[in-house]
Amino acid sequence: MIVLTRVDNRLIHGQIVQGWLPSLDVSEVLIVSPGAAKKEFVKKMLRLSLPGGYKLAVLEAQEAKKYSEVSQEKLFIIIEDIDNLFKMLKEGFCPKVITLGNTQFSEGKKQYSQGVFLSDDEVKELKKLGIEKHISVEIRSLPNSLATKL
Amino acid sequence: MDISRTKYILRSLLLQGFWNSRKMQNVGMLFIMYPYLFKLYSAYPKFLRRAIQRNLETFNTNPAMVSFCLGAVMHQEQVLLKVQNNLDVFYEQEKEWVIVRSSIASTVASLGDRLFWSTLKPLSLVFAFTVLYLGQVYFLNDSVQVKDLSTIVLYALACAFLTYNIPVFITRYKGFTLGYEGNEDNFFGLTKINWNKLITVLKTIGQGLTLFVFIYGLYFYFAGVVVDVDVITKVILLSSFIILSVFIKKWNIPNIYLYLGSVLVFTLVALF
Amino acid sequence: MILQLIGFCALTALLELDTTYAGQLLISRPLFVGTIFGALTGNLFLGLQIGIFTELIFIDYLPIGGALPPSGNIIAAMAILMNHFFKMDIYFAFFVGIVCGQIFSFVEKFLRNKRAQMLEEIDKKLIEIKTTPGKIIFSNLALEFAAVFVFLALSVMIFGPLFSYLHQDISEKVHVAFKFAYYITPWVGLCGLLLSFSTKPKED
Repeated sequence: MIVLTRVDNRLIHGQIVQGWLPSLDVSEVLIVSPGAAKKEFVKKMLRLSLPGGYKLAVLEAQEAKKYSEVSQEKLFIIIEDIDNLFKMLKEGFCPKVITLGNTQFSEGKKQYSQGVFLSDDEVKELKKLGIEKHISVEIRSLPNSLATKL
Repeated sequence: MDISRTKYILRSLLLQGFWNSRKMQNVGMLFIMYPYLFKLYSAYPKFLRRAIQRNLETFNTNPAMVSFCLGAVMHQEQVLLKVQNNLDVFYEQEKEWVIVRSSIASTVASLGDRLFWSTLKPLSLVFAFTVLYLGQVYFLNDSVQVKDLSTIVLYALACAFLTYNIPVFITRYKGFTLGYEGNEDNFFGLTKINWNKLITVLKTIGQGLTLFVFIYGLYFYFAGVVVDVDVITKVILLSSFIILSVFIKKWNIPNIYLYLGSVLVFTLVALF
Repeated sequence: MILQLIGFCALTALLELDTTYAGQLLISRPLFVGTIFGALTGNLFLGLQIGIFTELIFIDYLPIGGALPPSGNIIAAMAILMNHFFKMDIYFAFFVGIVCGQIFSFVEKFLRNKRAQMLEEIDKKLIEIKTTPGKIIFSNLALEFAAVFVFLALSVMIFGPLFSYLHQDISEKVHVAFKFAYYITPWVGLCGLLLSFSTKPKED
C-alpha cells in the first residue's frame, strides 16, 4: 500500500526523518534512484540515515513500480527527481497524490518554493497529470507546512 | 599530508555563513576547504579552479556533523590528485567524489538533525531544569547556607552549554579523523558508532528527566495551595490545554499556535 | 536609555549570528539570551523565566531542511527589552516578542532568497579566484548583523511607544487573558518536550 509519494532529490534527510516519518503510519521507505540502486556505498549510507525500525528498499524506476504493487508494507516512496517520476508514471504508476519536496536547481528552472525548482516543460507535464489521470500534484516541504497545488 | 584539525574545525563553524535557499551551504563548504585546496593543488594551478568549482556545488548537512564530510571530501581530493594524469580515470573519480560527498552529507544531516537538534538540544534544556530544581533543594537546605539563587542559575546555564557543546566538539574532532582516514569500504567510519542506539538511549533519559521535571514542577506549583473554586478552575483549564496540546500534534499544529489561539480566545472571552 | 537600548540591540544582533551563520554553539538559545539579558537589566529570574518559556513554546518547532522557525533569540531579547525599558507587563512583552520573532522570520526568508539570487555572480567570481569565500562570508555576517540590528531598533521604536500610548486604555480583563495564556505556556511546552523525546520514528 502506498502511503505517500514524494519527489526529493536529497532522498533521506532531516525533513523526512523528523518531519514526515513521525506523522505517517509507514513501515517501509522505498527509494527510487537508479544511481543509488547501483552502489553499495550509497545504499549503506541511506540505511544509516533511516531509524532502525523501518525497512528500506532502493530500486530503479521500473523495479520500483513493480515492487510498489506487490509489497505488503505501508510504503513511503521517495523519488529522486522528476525524470524518474515520469519514468514510473510511464510504467503505469498511479498514486493519488504526488508531493514535491526538493528538486535540484539547474539553468532555466523557475523556483516554486524554498526547495522546488521546475522547468516550464515539467510544469506542463505535471499539470497534465491532474487532468488525465486525476493525480494531484502539490508542493510541500513538511507535514505541518502548507501544501500548494501546482 | 599533515593537516591541523583545529584550524579546519574552527573554520567549519562558519559553514552556514552564506546560507542561501539555492545551494544552501555551498560557499561555507568552499570556505572550509579553501586553504586545503590551495595547499593540495599548489603545484597544479590548472586543477585548482576545477577543484574550487567542484567544491562550490550544492551542499547541505548538519553543521555539528560536517567534519565527517570534510574529512571524507579531503580524502577524495587526494584520490583525485593521484589520477590527474589520466583524464578518463579522473572524470570517473570525480563522479565518485560527487557521490561520496552528497551521500555522506545527507546521511550525517539526518543523523545530526536527530541526534543534535531533536535530542541533545532539548536534553540539555532538561538537564538545566534538573539542575535548577535539584539546586534549589540542595542549596536551600538549612545546612548549606547559600542565599544566592543566581549561583544555581549559573550552574544550570553552564550545564546546558556543556552538555550540548562537548558532544558537538567531540563529534567535530572525531568525525574529522574518521572521515579523513576512512574510505568507501569502511563507510568513512560512520558505521563505527551505533547511532540509532545512541539516540534511543538519550531520548529515554530525556523522557525520564522530563517526567521528573513535570511532576516536580506540579508539586512545586501546587504545594501549599488552598483548594478553592479559583484553583479548581485553573487546574481544569490547565489540564484541558495540556490535553489539547497533545491532540493538536495529530494535525502537526505547533504549540505556538495554541498560545496565540489562547491569547485570542481569552481576550475575546474577557471582553464580551 | 537610548545608548543602553542600542547596546542591547547590537548584542542581540551579534547573538543572532550564532543561530544560523556562525558557530551554532547555542549561545543564542532563549535560555541563555533570556537569562543574560535578565541579569544585565537587573532581573535575572524574570529573564530566566522568559528564556525557559520561549524555549518550551518552540520545543516542537525544528529547523529542519532549511525550514525557518521564528528566532527564539529575538523573542527573548525583545520581551526583556520591552519589559525593562517600557515597563510593559511581562505577559504583553512575551506576546510582542513572539510577534517580532514571527515578522523577523519573513525578513530572514527574504535575505536567504536575496542571497540565492546573488549566488550566480558570486560563484563565478569565486571560481575565477577574483574573491575569496572568506570575504563573502564575513561581509554577509556584517550584513546580517546590520539587518537584525535595524529590525530590532525599528521594532523597539514602534512597539515601545505604542504600548506606552495604549497602556491606559487596556482593560484589566485583557491583562488577565494575556496573563493566563502566558502561564499556560510552560505546561504545554513541557508536554511538547516529553513528546519530543518520543522514540517514534522507531530508532531501535
